[in-house]
Amino acid sequence: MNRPVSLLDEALGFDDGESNSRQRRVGRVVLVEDCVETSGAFVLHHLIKRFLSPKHSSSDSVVIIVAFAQPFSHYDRILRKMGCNLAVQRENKRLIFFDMLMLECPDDEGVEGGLIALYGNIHKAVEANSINKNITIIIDDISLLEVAANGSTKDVLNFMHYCHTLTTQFGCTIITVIHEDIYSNGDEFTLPIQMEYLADITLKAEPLVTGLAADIHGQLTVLNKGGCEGLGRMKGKIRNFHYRVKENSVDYFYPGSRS
Amino acid sequence: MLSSIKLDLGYNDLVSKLQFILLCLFSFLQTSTRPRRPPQTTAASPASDSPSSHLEVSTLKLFFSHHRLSTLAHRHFRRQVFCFILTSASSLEFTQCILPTSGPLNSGGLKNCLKFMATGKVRTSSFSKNFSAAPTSSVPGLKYGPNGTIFLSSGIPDLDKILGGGFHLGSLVMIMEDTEAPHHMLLLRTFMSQGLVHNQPVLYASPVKNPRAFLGTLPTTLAPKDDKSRNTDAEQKDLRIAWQYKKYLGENKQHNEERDGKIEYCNEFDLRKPIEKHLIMGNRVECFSLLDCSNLAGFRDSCSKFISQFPRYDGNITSAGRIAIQSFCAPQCDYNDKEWDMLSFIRSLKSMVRSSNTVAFLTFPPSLLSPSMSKRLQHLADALLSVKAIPDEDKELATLLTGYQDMLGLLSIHKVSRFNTQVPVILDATTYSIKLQKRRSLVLECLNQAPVDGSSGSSYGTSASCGSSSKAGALDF
Repeated sequence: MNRPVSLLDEALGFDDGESNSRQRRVGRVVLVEDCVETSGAFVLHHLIKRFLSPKHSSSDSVVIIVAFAQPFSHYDRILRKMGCNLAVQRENKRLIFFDMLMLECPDDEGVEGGLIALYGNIHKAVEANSINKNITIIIDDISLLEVAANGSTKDVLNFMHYCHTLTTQFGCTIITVIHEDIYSNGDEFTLPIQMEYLADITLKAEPLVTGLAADIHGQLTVLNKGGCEGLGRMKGKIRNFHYRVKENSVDYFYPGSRS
Repeated sequence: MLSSIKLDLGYNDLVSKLQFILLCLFSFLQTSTRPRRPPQTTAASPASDSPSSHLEVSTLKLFFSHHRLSTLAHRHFRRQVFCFILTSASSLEFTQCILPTSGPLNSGGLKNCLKFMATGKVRTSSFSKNFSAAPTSSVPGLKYGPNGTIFLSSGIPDLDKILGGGFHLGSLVMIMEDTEAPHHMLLLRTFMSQGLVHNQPVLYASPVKNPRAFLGTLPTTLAPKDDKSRNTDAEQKDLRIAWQYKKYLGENKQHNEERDGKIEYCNEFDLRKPIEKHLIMGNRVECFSLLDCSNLAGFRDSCSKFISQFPRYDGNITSAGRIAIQSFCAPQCDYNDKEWDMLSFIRSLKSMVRSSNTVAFLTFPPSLLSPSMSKRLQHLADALLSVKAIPDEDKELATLLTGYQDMLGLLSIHKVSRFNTQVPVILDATTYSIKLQKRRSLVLECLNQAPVDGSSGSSYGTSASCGSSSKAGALDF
């Protein structure tokens, strides 16, 4: 019970469910940025587990996964190793999984049928669970959503803005991944800038400058803008720490503190 | 063998002029010595297909029909370093223009990275994980891996070992080509041959008019007799010092012999001999020309038809399929300007493959694409490798690495597929040298730093450059 809070949880600043019921209703947007060398998927897994396990939050939280990157079996196997059975949670209606691997919206009417219908489904699911529940929407990942929308940044941003309205309306938390190195070649890309603007918390997973190592899998930079409720909190604090991904958990430690 | 010819060329009809140069060099080569280091030994074309000169021409087109024509041509003609290989009396293959890679910045980066790699950990053979001990599945050519995955062999034993067993069934493997060298074809050929040897259906697509002609250049398996002698050779060489451990190696060998009766999981291939005719006859190999389709819808349909033969049922695999796509984003294809079409094709291919028992193997030239497009493709890949030719006469590199004379090129591993797990695979080394053993079979070796000459006292210099090069290495790879 008295396990020390991991550096990631501390940096994210999510309250434990029982601490304050008022703050639970505040929705937030979490953006995970990663690159080819280091995947940020482990943050998603950590948060899925966190929101679904009874220890961390009250049992009335619901997670909605909109999966563009991986099939259900992949998440299921990983989360099972972390001690969380997604198949059971799905049956208990605490997990809603949208398999979007084959979603294609080639042109305008495609967007109608694709993204708008998807938003409709998400909205319906959120509305059905909105009473007295914590809802988390996980979109994995935006770069693939962009491919599914056939490169139409406008449609992707519209979709994300619609989803963003859910955070204020229903207090949902939105967690997304964006592959940051796609947009880092000097051209003007509006998508990452807009997403960073929307995000309350930005996490960036990078490899170490010295390359990959077996002991340290990368470093995580967390920028917490503090959100609207930041009473007495440190605002805009940047934290930086190293991590090592294991099958059932992730070790976080400050640079150089690894014994 | 480097020949330099001064030519003043306009860029309007390069292809025909290059054909002319080819012929000139061809006659020149017949009188001169063979190239010291052939980057690729190609099996002779099959008798059924005429020596396919159009293949070469289209390879050239790949380079010259693009908007980067001027820069490439410039590079090709400024450096004037050509390498052609005489494969047989009847056919000439345009194999390589070895250049000190692309520009001074890149070659410096490569060298730095090599220095860095060479000082890193070196995989030692005696303590590498013994993968033959893993339980083999009942279906030949497949092997169970961790986390409920199934492996399929790449056709190169060393590569299988490096990747932890091979390619995952259901994964999308991408190779980043070196636009100036055909090393990716070596990997493609062994991948396809291995599939044919294991009786697995293969779908092959390439941006040439007649893709079926390529099947004649697939390599055949190495005779098992040679294989054994090679093994014992290697063992004797390995255990000159730690001879006590020989008995353990003996155990291993027995284990191998037990399995000899069955079909091997991974064969070695003789790149000099073409594959047996009966393996490529019949309809086990589907060929598809990417030149024919103006958009990718047709190709997507044939892929999904091919993949639907291998649905995934839990725990019951009957067969596996292989999809090999050569130079997917090649500029001579009609769809080349539609980036999002290509991306959505690859995305749907990935999801189709993921839910089936197939492996898709795709090569693409990253330097011909926009940086963001290339990054997107790299993110889409489950396993990501890249190949690079090494310059023929690079004194600096030659002093830095042992065995430089035998190297054909470098293979880097950027990403190993991570199915059903979140733990990244950290390899001991990410860059390996590609070598030909006895001019036949491909082997991959760790890069070893050459011993430093003690009298010159340059060891400090090397370590200093190593420290400073780490940044450049991270940028380059």
